[in-house]
Amino acid sequence: MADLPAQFSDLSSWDAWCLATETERNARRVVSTFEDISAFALAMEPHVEAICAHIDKVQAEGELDEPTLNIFYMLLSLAEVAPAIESYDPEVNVVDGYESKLFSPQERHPLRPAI
Amino acid sequence: MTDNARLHDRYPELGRGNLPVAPYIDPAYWEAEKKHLFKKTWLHIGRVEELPKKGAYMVKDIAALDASIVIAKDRSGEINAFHNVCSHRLNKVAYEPYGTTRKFFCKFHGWAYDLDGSLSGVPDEKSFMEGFDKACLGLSKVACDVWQGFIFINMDPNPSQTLAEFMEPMYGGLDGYPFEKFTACYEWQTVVDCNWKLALDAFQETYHVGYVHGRSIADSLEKDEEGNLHPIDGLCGDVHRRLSIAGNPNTVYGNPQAATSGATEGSASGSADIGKRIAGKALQLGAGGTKIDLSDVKLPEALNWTKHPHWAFDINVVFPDFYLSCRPNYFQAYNFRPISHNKTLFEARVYYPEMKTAGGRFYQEYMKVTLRDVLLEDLGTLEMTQEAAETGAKKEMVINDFELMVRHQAVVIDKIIQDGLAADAAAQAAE
Repeated sequence: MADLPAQFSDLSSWDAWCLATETERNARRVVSTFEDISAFALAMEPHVEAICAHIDKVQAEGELDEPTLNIFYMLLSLAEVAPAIESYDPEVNVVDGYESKLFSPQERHPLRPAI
Repeated sequence: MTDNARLHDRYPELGRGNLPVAPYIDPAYWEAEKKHLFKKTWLHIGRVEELPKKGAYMVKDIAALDASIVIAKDRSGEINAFHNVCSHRLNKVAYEPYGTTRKFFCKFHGWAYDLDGSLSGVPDEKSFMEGFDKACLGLSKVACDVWQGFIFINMDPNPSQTLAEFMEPMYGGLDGYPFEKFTACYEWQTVVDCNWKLALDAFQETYHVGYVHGRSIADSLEKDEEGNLHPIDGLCGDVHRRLSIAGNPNTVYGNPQAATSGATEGSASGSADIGKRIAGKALQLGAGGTKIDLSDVKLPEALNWTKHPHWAFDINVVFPDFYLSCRPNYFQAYNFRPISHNKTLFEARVYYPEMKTAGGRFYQEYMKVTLRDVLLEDLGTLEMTQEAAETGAKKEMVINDFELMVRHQAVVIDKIIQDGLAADAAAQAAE
């Protein structure tokens, strides 16, 4: 169970989306059902502004603590599922697309942002 | 068919006929490309920001050059390139794709090389023969130069053109584009079973967008009155080529000012589609999120050379295999690195400004995964196209006016290959 900041405890049932890398987030998206990613997006939607404000506040004070990192990763997972909902409904994968796990993000590239 | 002026009218030397399929499927043609093209021209390797300090290096294995190349920043700050081959008994001297070091050591017998490639240490040196001279035994140098922060190498020991002479005629006008400000880079890689030219072709025309990207970004590009996605204009140089593309400013992806001017997606917040609402939020929250201020950047005039009001981006194909697409607030840099006549290493990078806010980072992630999914759509057609080409059922392909860049690539390369083969034949006859 990933810890989340207290004010976002409603989202704790979605904690499997607290994934630090694009590779993991995409891997989860493509094995999820479309209903699941849509429900995740609907659950996140009302909190997005507050999540961003929380992260910015913690960042201004210093290092990101683990609950804040977790909610940050969850926010990036929302970005991961958004194109599927926008463009590929009812598929979670890119329709007629190349297999995403073969198109590997270079997670260790020196210019890649840490988060 | 209309009687309108055509892009092709400007380039009569490129012809108008069908294009032969053989160059995309013939292993012998690929061998000729290696010899007469790839080993004789400037090739893009990466960015100077990847080598931030003295001793930083990267290693690139380039199949088209039959070579492993080390690119390193030396003590004086110069970037040098050399073969990753020890002068003694030929082991490698660098083993990781990226690293930082004081010297390069061969793991076989411990020979040591300075950051500029010169040989500096030989264990038990006195046991080598008379005349042994360290000064002559450095790593083999490869020509290396930098244009706008992009590192290029050239395997020709005496390049026929400097990098500046190679780039200036077509891309001199990009001077002032803020490449150095976009230092948040995301890269994906894959090996696709198709010819490198066939892969690049899928990225240098807009005709496919309505079909291949019909579900995703087709709406982000501007359509003409008849609903066609034509480029604004195209330019063919001696070897390089450019396309100018208009966007639909009412979309997140097609609005060139998105995230810098804080434009919002029309009615996104009221949309019944949760996906569209998320996109709208990403755009809204991304506004003003960059670490650096981009508002005072004046883009070079050559970028949107027709001054089209809805210009969204340029596609610049830097000959032979480097695709550089410049937008006002980020750029894409793809390399289509051939491995064989029907295998290509596709290295796709996008460079954004670094973000200081979580909203900025959320927007960037949205833009990045959208781009990745669009690339997956593009990649989806390539292997089938290659398989179809290899059946031999068709000897030629048919090209429309706006696929001029596909023609330009084929014609330019074939001229180089035919000249090279003719020179080989002449040399052989003289022997």
